[in-house]
Amino acid sequence: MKILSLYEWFIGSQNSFVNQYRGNEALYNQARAYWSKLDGNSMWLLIFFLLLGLGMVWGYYQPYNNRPGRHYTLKHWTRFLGVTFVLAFTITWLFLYYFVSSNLDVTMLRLMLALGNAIYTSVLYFLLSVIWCKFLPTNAYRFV
Amino acid sequence: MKKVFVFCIGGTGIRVMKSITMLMASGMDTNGYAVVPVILDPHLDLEEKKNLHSLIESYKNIYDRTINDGNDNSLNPLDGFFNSRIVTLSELDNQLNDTQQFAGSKEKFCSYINVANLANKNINNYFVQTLFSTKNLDNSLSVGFKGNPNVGTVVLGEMIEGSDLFKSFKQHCEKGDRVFIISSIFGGTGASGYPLLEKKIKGADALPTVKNALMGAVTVLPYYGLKDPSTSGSDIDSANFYTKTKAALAYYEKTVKSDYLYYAGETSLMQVYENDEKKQDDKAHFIELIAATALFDFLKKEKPDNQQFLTRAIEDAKDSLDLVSLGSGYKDIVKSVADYKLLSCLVDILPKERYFPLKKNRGMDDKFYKDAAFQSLKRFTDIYDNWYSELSTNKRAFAPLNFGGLDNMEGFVKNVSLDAMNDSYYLLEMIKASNANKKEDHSNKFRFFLQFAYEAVDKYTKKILK
Repeated sequence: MKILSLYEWFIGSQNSFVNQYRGNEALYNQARAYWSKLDGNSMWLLIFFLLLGLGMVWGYYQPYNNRPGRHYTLKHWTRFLGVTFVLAFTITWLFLYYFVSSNLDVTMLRLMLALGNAIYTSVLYFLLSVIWCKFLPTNAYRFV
Repeated sequence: MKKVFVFCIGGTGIRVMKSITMLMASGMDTNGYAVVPVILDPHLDLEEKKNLHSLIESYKNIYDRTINDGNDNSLNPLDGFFNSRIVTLSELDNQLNDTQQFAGSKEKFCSYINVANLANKNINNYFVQTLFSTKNLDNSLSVGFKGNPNVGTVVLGEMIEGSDLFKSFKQHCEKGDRVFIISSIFGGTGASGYPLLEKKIKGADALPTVKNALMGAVTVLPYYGLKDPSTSGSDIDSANFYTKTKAALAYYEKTVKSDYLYYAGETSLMQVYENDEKKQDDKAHFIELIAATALFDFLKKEKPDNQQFLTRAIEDAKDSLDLVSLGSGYKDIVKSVADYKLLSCLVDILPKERYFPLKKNRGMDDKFYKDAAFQSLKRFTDIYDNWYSELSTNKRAFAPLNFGGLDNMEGFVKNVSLDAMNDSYYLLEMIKASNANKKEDHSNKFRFFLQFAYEAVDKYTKKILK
């Protein structure tokens, strides 16, 4: 699995993470195990990223813009972008907290990973919006 | 092109034609007939007459812009707003401008009938003095007949026969064309003009298409009063309206031969206007609207076996009429007026709507809203708004609409709950109509605008017809 390497921008490399615990072998092993577990579950990060990015773009350009309320405006598109960011951040963080647990203090790692996934999902939202505006039917304003 | 020549006689004729124009703009259907207005009012310089000419030009301008494909080819008329053609006699004569207007005269009535040439003791002089008062004889013909059908009867026949308008009508009236005459019965011009005009048409033996044209007429009974003439110095006294009406009706009963004769009137003279025959600055009235609907009814009818006399009533004689008090027979009128008033909202909102999708998809951008076509529509809409405002505040008031702001449009039509809660519902339907339209047969943005606006509005207002 090389997915986690996509998040090195935010969480650094495996070495930089485990080397924090080099003085304590037990913790060092726990850190390695944690990273390995994280790597094993990284597919979920990708799934959240894709599902949220696609889902929110579809939701904005289709059902949301099929309802009255001037949803075609930049304000509503930006709101959806904000919701995408918050949802991606929260879901990723909750997933890491409950399903990729550790005895180590990995709070910052989780937060940075959630932040990274949220940013990637937002970028995906933007890119899919460009594609939707160019090629797909919608009642929304075609910003690009 | 099937045509209906609509003769509008006198001030009431002019005001009814204004209502006809407004209803046509709202989408009332003329059953494929092009409306040819022929305005017969000897009143020179009457502001109302000038305004009507300008309104008709404005309508024509908008209509012409909707049937052009953007490359000077013709398209079928739209469904909905501005769906029927108005064509002037000047246009039929291939003149660019509507220069043909009914010629009034500045001379006095006594001069017109050459009273001065009669010797004092000539029996004809006594006859003239019996029929006409000194005031009648001294009246200038340039302000109409001041409520005196006895003057109109003498003058109008010759004026009609000699006018370019009537000659042009006779020239262009073809097989299948119809004639519709609008007049009031309680004044001077209309009361005398209708039977005279009808006689001239029915008596055109040399022109069978004219003589045999299916003919309808609406005669407007008294529906407003005028202030006491002793205070205004006017020659018109509305206290005589009913007497004159009865006399005219008795004459019409045996004389007029129209295939369909509609009567429109009030139960009492509820509204009292300023008594100023020069200005006649009267507000639009419900009865004029009712008289206007007679034309649309007439255009749906076939030739009857016998002469038909028709009128229409309201359900409940309220001072301010809505859908319930008007009755179910008025649903189409209420819908049409509601449709246009909603268009008026869209015309107001859309230029300010920064992210409206049709800006990109259909080119309805700032340039489009500043363009001559949209600006003409805006000016027409301003006049329409003013017309409805007058109707809704007159006595009796035609006020079936209730404008509670763009955020609260559910109750836009009184007694009906529309499914559109606010203006965004209509905007969304315009977008949907645009997305559903895949045809590439033209590039006329203005036509698209009116087409999508009508589809959007109709989606919600058709509930009125149920």
